[in-house]
Order: sequence, then C-alpha cells, then structure tokens
Amino acid sequence: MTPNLHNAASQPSFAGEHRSTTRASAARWKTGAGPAVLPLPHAASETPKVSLQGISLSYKTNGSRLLAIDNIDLKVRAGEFLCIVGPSGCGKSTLLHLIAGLHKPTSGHVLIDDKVVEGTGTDRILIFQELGLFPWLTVGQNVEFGMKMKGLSTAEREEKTRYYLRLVHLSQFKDSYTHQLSGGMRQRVALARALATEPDVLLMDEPFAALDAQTRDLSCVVHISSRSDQARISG
Amino acid sequence: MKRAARQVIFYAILITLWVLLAKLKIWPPYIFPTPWGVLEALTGGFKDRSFWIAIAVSMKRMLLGYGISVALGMVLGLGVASNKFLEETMGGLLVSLQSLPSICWLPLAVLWFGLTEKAILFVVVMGSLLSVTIAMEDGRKQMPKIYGMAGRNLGARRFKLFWHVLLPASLPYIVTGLKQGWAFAWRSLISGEMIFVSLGLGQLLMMGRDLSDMSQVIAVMILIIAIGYIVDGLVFKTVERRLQNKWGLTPAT
Ligand SMILES: Nc1ncnc2c1ncn2[C@@H]1O[C@H](COP(=O)(O)OP(=O)(O)OP(=O)(O)O)[C@@H](O)[C@H]1O
Ligand SMILES: [Mg+2]
Repeated sequence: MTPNLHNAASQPSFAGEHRSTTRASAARWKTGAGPAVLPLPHAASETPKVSLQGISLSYKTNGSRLLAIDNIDLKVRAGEFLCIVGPSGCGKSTLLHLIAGLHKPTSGHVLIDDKVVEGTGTDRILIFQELGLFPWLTVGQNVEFGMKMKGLSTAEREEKTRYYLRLVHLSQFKDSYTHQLSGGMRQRVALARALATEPDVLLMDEPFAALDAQTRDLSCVVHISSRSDQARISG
Repeated sequence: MKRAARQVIFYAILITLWVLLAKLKIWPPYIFPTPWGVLEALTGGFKDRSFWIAIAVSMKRMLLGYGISVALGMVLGLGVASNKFLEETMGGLLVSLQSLPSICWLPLAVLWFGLTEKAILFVVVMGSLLSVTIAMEDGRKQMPKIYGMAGRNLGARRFKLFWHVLLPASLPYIVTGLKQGWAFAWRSLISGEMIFVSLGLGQLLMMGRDLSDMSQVIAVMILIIAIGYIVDGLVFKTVERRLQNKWGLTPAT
C-alpha cells in the first residue's frame, strides 16, 4: 500500500502513477486578503522545491520487514500545495516523516532545491499527527521554540509569537499550558508553532482533523495559502 | 486532618512508652537514654553550635557529591539509553554494581585520595551515581519518542536537543530516581563520616559513642532522620508534584 498523491489544484494522480505532479495554480488559493498570489516568474520557481527520487522505506518489525513506502517519485514546486490521500495505515505519516528527515529512507533521496538533504532542517517543518507539543512549555513558548533554535532575537521572537498566536485566535492563551487546551486549540498551537518557524516546506500530517469548519476556512488556510515561496505537503 | 491526628496520637504513645521505660530505670541511662536527656543533648548541641557546624559540613559535602553524581549520571544515563552498544555492555555492569554497598568504595577511596575530603566525596558520588544513571536511562526510555522527533524537527540538535527537549521531557520520569539517588548519597555520606573522622554528622555520632553519651547518639540520629525527611518529604515531593502538574500528568485540581 502506498498513498495516492493528490495535487490540490490539478488532476489527482492515482496510486501507481507517481509521476511528478503538475504545477499548482497558486491563484486558486488566493484569498481576499492582500495582493493576488501568482507563481514566481523567474527561473528559480521551475526547479522543484521538494523532490523525492525513488524513495522506499521498510520498517523492521521483529524479524520481518514491512514495506511502507515503495519507490515514490514526486516533485513539488514553491507555491504548490500537494495533498496525500489514502486509507489509514497506507504510509502518509511515514512519507511526511521521510521528507522531514526524521526517517532515513531505505533507498532513494530527498532533494530540496535540487540538493540532497539528510536529517532534519528548519527549512522543512512538520506538523505531527500527534502534534508533539511540549507540555513543559507554555503555548507562547511552544510557538517560540523553533525560532529560538534558529537563533532569532528575543524581540523578533516575541513579535512573531504574538502575530502567529493572533492568527490562530489563541492570543489570550499565550501563558496557558497545552494540557489546559482543547484538542482543536492544541492543533492550532501546533500550526502556529510550525508557521512561526517560517519554513520553505510546510509538511502537515492531517492538520485540520480536529478543527471546526469555521477556523479551517478563516484563519489557517488563509495564511497557509498566502505565501508563494513555500511548498506545502499535507497528509 | 484525620491522618495528622492519627500521627499525633501515634507519636504521643511512642513517647509515653519511652518516658515510662526510662522512669522504670531498668537500664542505666548510658544504655537507654531518657527523652529529656536526648532533648537536652539536642538543645545543647544547637546552643554550642556543634550541631550547626556538623550540619553545614555534611550538607556541603552532600550538595557537592550529589551535584557531581547528578551531572555525571545524566551524561552516563543518556549515553546508555541512546547507544545500543553501551546499553548491552555498560547497562549490565551498572545494574550489578548497584548491589555493592557504597561504603565498600571507602577502602579504595582512602588508598586513592588518602584521608581527605576527596575520599568522602568519592564515596558519596559512588553511592548515588548508579541510581541516578539508571533513573536517567529509564526516564529516557519511558519518555514518549514524539518529543525527540518534534525537537529535531524544530531545529534542536545535540546539546540543544538534550537541554531543551530530552531533559525536560524525561524529568517527570527521572525525578523519582533523583530522589532515590539523594537518599543513597545521604546514607553513604553518614557511613563515610562515621569511619572517616572529620567533622560532619557521622563523626558527631561516633563522638557520642566514644564518650558513651547515648543521649547525643540518639539526638544526632534524630537529626539525620529529620534532615533526610525534610529533603525527601518537602523538597523532592514538592518538586515532583510541581513537575507533574506542569507536565499535565495529574488531573487539574
Ligand atoms: N515505527 C514503526 N515500526 C513499524 N511499522 C510501522 C512504524 N510506523 C508505521 N508503521 C507501519 O507502516 C505503515 C504506514 O504507517 P503510517 O503511520 O505512515 O500510516 P498513515 O498513512 O499515516 O495512517 P493514518 O492515516 O492512520 O495516520 C503501517 O502499516 C504501520 O503499521
Ligand atoms: Mg498518519
């Protein structure tokens, strides 16, 4: 089983095809706010932001091997939004972990801007299916975490934390701990934490599962889709 | 409240029994001390500052020795938990070494360091290092894997990953081991001081024996228990509860 690669703005491609997805029309994700978002005209946008070359991964489970990802190729350009769909257990999370560099592929390469990457990097931020918020930090400190690791100044971190918390409507929960929030609120914290790190590639593992339709429409998607220099892959 | 009342009654009975036995004068006071004799020794010890000095000396050794073993134990425990080779080799050795009473390190310490402060410190460190290491290793294994992944994903690496993610994530799991390490260190220190004469509470205890002053012996024993209890019951329990609250491991009250 392997997940289908589903380009949000083009024809879906089905399992087995695994050909590079067509360029998404960014205008489709344009929203009322701000100027129209168009694909970047210069040549840089022609090289894919993310490309996977013959990626396979098998898990070792007490003796036997389980082939979770079987020879996947895909390309996502900056400004595109790729959705990976498939039944539970088909390997969506595994694929996203691979791109994030949390798993080492059994074979194949992950390329960012045509350069092979190994391991994690703040250019690729994943929102985990189980979120992975840090319970010992407040909501604000969670959002700040990636920026702190990147070495941003305190003033810059504070400003961005405030901005992204407002974006997900959690400003008044800045000093709460994550276990004091509801499931959907927690998911928004995870979203804010990933967005605040301002990655080139945003990976989301079922990011809107616990969000109500209102939040989904209003704040998060508006933001996710308003950057033309970012590639997003969602599982 | 009810629990406190029961405890008061229990200790009242205990002391009454003691008073009664002492009043009967079956044994001479240098064998069986009277409660008032012990009280006198306690107040006297604090008044002539000898208890204060002994407490200060012992606590200084404790803090130093325990500090060293926590720092070392964290590094060791982390190494053992994250390295298959170390786990298979060192892991077993650590567990087997734990059955060695820490005072057994004293002859070695004296040969290495002489009758110095270093020898005492060595015994204290050896007494608690193993339990801290094993606690740290267990903590790292029990800790949900997602935190390490989330940390790496957000750009934490090496020391930053350890300091900002792995350590805080495993704290609620290692605090029990840290507490046990403290208790071991405390015992090792007192036994070390008893053999190795140089100030401290253990030496005060031996001095009581040398002077056949049973009241002082009991007074110092009470002191040792009280300090152990205060650190364990107040310091560690509070830390433990705080951690669990903050980490959301207990239902909010
Ligand atoms: N750490 C692991 N060790 C062994 N097998 C694993 C591991 N993680 C996942 N698998 C297996 O790999 C397959 C793909 O898992 P994955 O988590 O990627 O699925 P998914 O598509 O994200 O499913 P869901 O929609 O339920 O989240 C599953 O069959 C699972 O049993
Ligand atoms: Mg999944």
